[in-house]
Amino acid sequence: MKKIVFPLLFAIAGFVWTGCDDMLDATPKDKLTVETFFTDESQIRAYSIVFYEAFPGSELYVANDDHYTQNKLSSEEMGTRTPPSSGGGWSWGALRNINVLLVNLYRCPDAAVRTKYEALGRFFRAYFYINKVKRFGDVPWYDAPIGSTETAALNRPRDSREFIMNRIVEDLDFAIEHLPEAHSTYEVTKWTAMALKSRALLFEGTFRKYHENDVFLKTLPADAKPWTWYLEQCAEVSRELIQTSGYSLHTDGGVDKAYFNLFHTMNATDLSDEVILARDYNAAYNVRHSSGATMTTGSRGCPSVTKKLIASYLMKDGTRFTDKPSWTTMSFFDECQNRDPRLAQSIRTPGYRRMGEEATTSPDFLVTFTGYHPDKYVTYPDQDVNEASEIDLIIFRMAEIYLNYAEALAELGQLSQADLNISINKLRQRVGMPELVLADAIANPDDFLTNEAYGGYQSPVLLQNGNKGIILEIRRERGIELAQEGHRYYDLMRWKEGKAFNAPFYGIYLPGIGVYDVDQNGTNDYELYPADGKATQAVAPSMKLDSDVYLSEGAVGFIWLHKTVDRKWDEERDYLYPIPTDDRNLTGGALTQNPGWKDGLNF
Amino acid sequence: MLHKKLFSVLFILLMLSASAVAQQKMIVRGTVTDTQGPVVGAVISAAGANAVTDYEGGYSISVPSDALLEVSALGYKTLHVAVKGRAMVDIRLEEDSIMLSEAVAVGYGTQKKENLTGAVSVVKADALQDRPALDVAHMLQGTVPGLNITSASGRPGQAATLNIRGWNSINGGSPLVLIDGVEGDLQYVNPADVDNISVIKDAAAAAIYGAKGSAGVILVTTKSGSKEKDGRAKVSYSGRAGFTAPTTSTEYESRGYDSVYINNLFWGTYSPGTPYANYSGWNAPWGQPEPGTDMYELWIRRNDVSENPARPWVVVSNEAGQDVYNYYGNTDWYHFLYNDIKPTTSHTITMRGGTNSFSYMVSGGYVYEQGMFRKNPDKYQRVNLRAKLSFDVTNWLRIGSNTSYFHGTYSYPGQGGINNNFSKSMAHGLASLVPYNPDGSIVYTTKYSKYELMDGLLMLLDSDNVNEDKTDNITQTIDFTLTPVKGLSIKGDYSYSFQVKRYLNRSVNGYYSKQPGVISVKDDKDAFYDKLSEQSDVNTYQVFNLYATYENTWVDAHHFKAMAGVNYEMRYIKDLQLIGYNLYSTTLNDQDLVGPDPADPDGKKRMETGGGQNELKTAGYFARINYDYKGRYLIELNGRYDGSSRFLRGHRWVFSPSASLGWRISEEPFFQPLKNWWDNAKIRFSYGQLGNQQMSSYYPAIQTVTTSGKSSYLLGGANLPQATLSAPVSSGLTWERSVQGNLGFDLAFLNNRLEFCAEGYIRDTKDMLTAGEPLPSVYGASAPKENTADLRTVGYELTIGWKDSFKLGGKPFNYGAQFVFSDYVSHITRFNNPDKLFAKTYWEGQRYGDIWGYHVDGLFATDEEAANYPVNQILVNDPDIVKNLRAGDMRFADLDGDGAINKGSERVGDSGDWQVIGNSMPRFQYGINLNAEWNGFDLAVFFQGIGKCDWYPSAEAFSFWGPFARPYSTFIPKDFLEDCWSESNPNAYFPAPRGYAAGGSNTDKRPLGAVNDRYLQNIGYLRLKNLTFGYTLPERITKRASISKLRFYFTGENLFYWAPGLHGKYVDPEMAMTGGALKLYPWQKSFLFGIDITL
Repeated sequence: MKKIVFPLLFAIAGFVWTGCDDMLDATPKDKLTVETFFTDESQIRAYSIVFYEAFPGSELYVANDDHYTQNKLSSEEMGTRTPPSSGGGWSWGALRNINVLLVNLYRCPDAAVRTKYEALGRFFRAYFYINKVKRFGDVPWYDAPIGSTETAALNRPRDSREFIMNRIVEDLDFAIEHLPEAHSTYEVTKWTAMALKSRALLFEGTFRKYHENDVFLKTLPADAKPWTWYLEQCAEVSRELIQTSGYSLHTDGGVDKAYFNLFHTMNATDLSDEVILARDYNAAYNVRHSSGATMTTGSRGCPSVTKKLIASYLMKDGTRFTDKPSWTTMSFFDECQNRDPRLAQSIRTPGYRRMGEEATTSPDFLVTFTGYHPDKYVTYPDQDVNEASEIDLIIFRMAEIYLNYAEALAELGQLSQADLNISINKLRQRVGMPELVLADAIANPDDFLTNEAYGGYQSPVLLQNGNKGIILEIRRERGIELAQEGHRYYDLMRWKEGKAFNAPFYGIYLPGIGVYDVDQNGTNDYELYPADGKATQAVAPSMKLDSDVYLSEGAVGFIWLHKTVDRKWDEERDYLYPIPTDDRNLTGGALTQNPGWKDGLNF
Repeated sequence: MLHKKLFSVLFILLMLSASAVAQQKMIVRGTVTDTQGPVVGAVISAAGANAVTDYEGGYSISVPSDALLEVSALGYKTLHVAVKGRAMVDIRLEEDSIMLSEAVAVGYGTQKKENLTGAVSVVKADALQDRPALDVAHMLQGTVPGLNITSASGRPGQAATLNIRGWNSINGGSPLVLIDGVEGDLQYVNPADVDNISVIKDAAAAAIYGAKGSAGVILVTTKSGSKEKDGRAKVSYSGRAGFTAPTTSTEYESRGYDSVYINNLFWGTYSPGTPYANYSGWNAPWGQPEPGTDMYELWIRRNDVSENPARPWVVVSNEAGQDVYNYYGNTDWYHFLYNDIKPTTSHTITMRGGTNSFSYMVSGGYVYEQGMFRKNPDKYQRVNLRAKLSFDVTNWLRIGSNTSYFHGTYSYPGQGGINNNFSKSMAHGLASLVPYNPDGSIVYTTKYSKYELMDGLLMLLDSDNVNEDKTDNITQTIDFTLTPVKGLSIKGDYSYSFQVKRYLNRSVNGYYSKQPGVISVKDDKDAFYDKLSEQSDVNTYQVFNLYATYENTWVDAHHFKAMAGVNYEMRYIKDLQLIGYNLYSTTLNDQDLVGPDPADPDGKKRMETGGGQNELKTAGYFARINYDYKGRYLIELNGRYDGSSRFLRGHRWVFSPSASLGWRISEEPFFQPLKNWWDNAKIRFSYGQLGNQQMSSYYPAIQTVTTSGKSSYLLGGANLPQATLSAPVSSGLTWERSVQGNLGFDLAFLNNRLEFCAEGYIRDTKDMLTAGEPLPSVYGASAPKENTADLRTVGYELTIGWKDSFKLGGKPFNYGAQFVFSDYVSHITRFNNPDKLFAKTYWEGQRYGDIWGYHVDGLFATDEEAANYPVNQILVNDPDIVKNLRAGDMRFADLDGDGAINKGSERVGDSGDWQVIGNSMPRFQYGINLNAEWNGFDLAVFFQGIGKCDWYPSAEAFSFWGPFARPYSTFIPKDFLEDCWSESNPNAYFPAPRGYAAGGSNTDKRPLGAVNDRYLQNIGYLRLKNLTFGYTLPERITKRASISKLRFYFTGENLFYWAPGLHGKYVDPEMAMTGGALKLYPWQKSFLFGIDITL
């Protein structure tokens, strides 16, 4: 017995005393953990999908700015923003996800995969940070996830935008070097990274230029790179994209359809000549958005393009519409004639037909209060309900790069006719518009675009620039080409043109009380009846003058939206958003407030 | 060293036995007695031989003629008697004054009761005997002060919830239950196997179990084999049979007219001018139906308890060219669905015996209990087997084996759990409707409302729908005890427990009829899919213990005992789930019968799967030192060093130390003059700290990756598998701790007839895991939980016992009484809520269980008074429900005088009219046990209860609110309207009828849903928990049939309750303690007749 007992005893005792921690390690076996994950490309790819959620979805085609307004003005436009206690864009979950990938990539044994996904992660980190810089200016930089007890990191003060921009450029340069070169409509590639770099540097360069000596740039370090560096880099990366990427413009459909097709093609893979990156939607997978509902339903914000943008479209022969003496009293039907073909391909003009329909459709004044009914991403009528649109949304396309390129060079004063010919004139060619001639533009700046009464550009930096003629033409082109694609608000911010929100937002011209068939298709579209009268109820949208609707000259004039709403743009405050007070409190003031914002905190 | 010593001991023993052979052997007989009479179970040993005394105290042993007999028995001083060649040796044992009573099981050993310094209560098997409760936990209710037992429902086989000394932590925690040293479930123990139960309540006694014992420990010791004369087995059988019945009233409104009228009355206040049940003439005043209307048809049948052929309950009429059913019934739905009286039976056989070196205990038990459901009755069946063996291999080595098996099956009808049936049954069951149409088809939808009769419950109960919950548990322990030298014992054991829980749910399509001849199928809801779901959860558990104990006494004064050991445990859980659709049969349930999915173009099977597994490993090093000086001054030190796989390396180990002191004043020389009437006086104090690893997650410190989802962002033209990380965990996660101090007094008087025990304690639960401090947003995730809250519980416990005996009619009359009492109060002592916002649930200084509510100072007497009441009650009178106040509505008191009923800024100190109106923690829990025994008759009466406990009926508690919850209540108490306000009944308990006054959504804005003091219930109760009356036949009669004991008895459980602060007779106070909507299996009482036979 002893023979059995003692060896057994010693074996057990030995087993117990040696093991200790080894015997107490337990890891989940029904779930992967951070330690066991990130080991091959399929896992990393599955993890990285969430990064793409950073790209705009339905918010892409709605906006609140001087070109596109809704039934209610935004607090930005009204000047009624206040420092929030939390939120307000100060969210950092996306960055945490990215940094978690970057610090865990070492677990993957495949060096090529590691590099590729480091490049992807850094692309999205750059995307995250440029959006933060655009909104808040200085922000704290993190290149690793923070632990809940890492007080120093949690309370990190804001880094200067110069520091952040340098990190963004580093991240993007790495991404450009290591992301795949093969074109991919839905996945981030080297070319997407270059496109983002072009966009980010144009923003920073022009913001620095137009806000030089502003309160918003007071925290720049002495050795900060000059704005010219950013624009030069922007021009360089844009030129490289134009020359080496293989992307150009989508021209299928010719001058009258090619531009329209960009926003009415269900799958962006059919636009792969121009589209660098798109967001895929597909009803088969239940992934849809609401562009149809947003732009055809009277209860979803009522998107309306403003007169300011419409009037900026040139005549088909290249002359200026606003040079016509009669433009301020021209009817909707008349003003739509012989214009830049992109007008009829962006809004409902007379003779407009919906996708797949033979009958014409008029602007719907129940939806669009200006009469200029936006049409980008509006597809078949059966997708006009909530969450029914499955048309892909374009995130980056070549046209933007052409515009970035031209603008950067123009601001630098280095633009040549040859540069215009490889950029903006390509856009003009696509729609059959005459070429933009550099010398003519410089010699003949458009007064309408700087007319204060219509919210024209007012920045002294621009007005005093001898090159302003060409800069204005590039801005005109940008406003038209990229209308309703999510650029305008931050374009105004970087050009220091926030006061544009204070100007009236106009719609079509109405000569007075009456019933109107604005597109002259034989059915009435709109009725304006006097304040002391009654609607004939001949058409559905019957509006009472000076109550439901106002006109610019009282009884006649442009439809005047938001006339009664106070607007007050604060030049010393409103170009950056406020930092939430909870976060300022929690960091004991390590997070400083942006200029001009009064949040009641004494640090 | 040890090895050498053992070897020499063995050698000496061998030599001794060898020399014994040389001596002349002889049989020695005799009896062992004490002052009272024979001593049963005394052990006589000499020269390697052993014998045990029988019932007459007799023994017989074969020893050398010059042997020295060692006679020992528990509670007596050990005696040595020389045989000196005598064949008869009678021995008289002297009681050991120190060993007044038995040894008490404590962690990894036993302790003499007198030497206990911690708070340990012991329950002996005889206290649980005869109790008809199905499991040990329910039997313990009320027997141990400070041990709180509650139940989640009254269904057969429902496991009890245990809790020692109240609220342990915000994060919960339940006592560690050890069955013969192996962590287990009290539900799996056959009550007949239990020998004794120790309930360890304070940190000092629990510290030996370290982090597992922070919520207390319950040690169950099962019966062992006994060494009977000639190895003869002691066989006993115990059987009983009887029935169970609900504890509350089941008399509900069964008159169709009344049911329709009342529900429409309540509905009408919510939606004026419309009926819930559109019986024509529904708006005629009570008792004045217009002839020709449906209401008239109901009225004339009102007193037909069963269908009168002249007035059928189902009438077919033609409406718009179609035949439809009209229902004019008087259905007693409760008794249609449920049986009041249900059979139950149980059988147990136990065999115990042994020889000199071998003992065994083998038992088997079977329990059957039928549940309430009339159709496909639910049934609970349990099988228990246990085999406990012990071998003395040598006189220094003993090996034991303990095998137990448990099987439990609960089968029941319905879908989504048994309680779901009760939930469904409570709504949309008008008494005017009937279960079956004349052609036998089931009634589901009717022409009277858009709602469905009891949400389709009848189809579920009538069909092949079935559920089976099965548990199998087999636990095997092997152990050895080495006693190499005197005073030293080394014990080791290894246990393997294998448990499988299997769940089967079968649902099938339902069939019903609304029009004669038209049968409709219901297959569009989960409950009616043709579907078989099977799940199996396998739980394996291994425990290894090795510990050594050394005990010695020097110069008859210094008694020293030390124990040290190690423990290692592994638990592994694996779940598997399979769901198959569209089976070829509705009665056979197997995944092989899954047929093609009609919706799949390729005819593929539709099946879904699920998995999951978890693992937990713990290790502990523990030690205990006891020292006492002449039994007067007692010191005990405990320590345990615990590691758990729940935590990462570096955060894994925690030390749980404790110390306790005792002073037995009654052993002091100066106390001796009092000893003739005061037997025992002891003061003890303990203090200790325990870690707590109880938390729901097995891997709280590891961030996991979820890989199941499909991405909502399409990449590469498809929604790809997406991986997401679980929420980040705190980088500073540590153990919760429990720090406890305990002060106890033990007193005994009048020759131990009167015993008294009192305990007082303070327990601080520290560093509870709660929502952490908010972090700056740059953290990028919601703040992880941190150890940031403390809790203090203060309580006390009392036990008073009396036992005595006197002669009555020449026969001894034994009787006894025991009273136990306990109480505690808990407060939050640290919580991150400086503004004491209600939204954060807890705040510093909060008393746990506080109920906040409004004050209602009465009902409006007139519409005018209601209309002119200057206080804005809109916050408690949701305008959707209460369009305008009128007579009979509640008058909420504007305590802060701001002209409106509100909660101020919703924080302590600024809470408007919202104040503490009660507390939901049970107070003053008690048990009273009375027993007497005379001339073969025995009687035991056991009362149990709580002194006070507030309960505000949950908004959806139909059983309390009736149609006030929702105006389509199936079970309306008889004469319910007499309980509601009306002009002629202004002093009624309930306000004037209003549908949705309690239930629905946003219930805190409903007059009855808003907690208020008018309808706050005190569910304190006194319950006649058990009454047992038995008769044991005289042995001289039974002996002729070779039966040593034959007893018949009656026993009743939960026989009666008295709860004066609880309104109505439809809610059992213990059901109310569950606190929810009470859509539960009702509590039951039982009546059983039993027989005990011992051969």
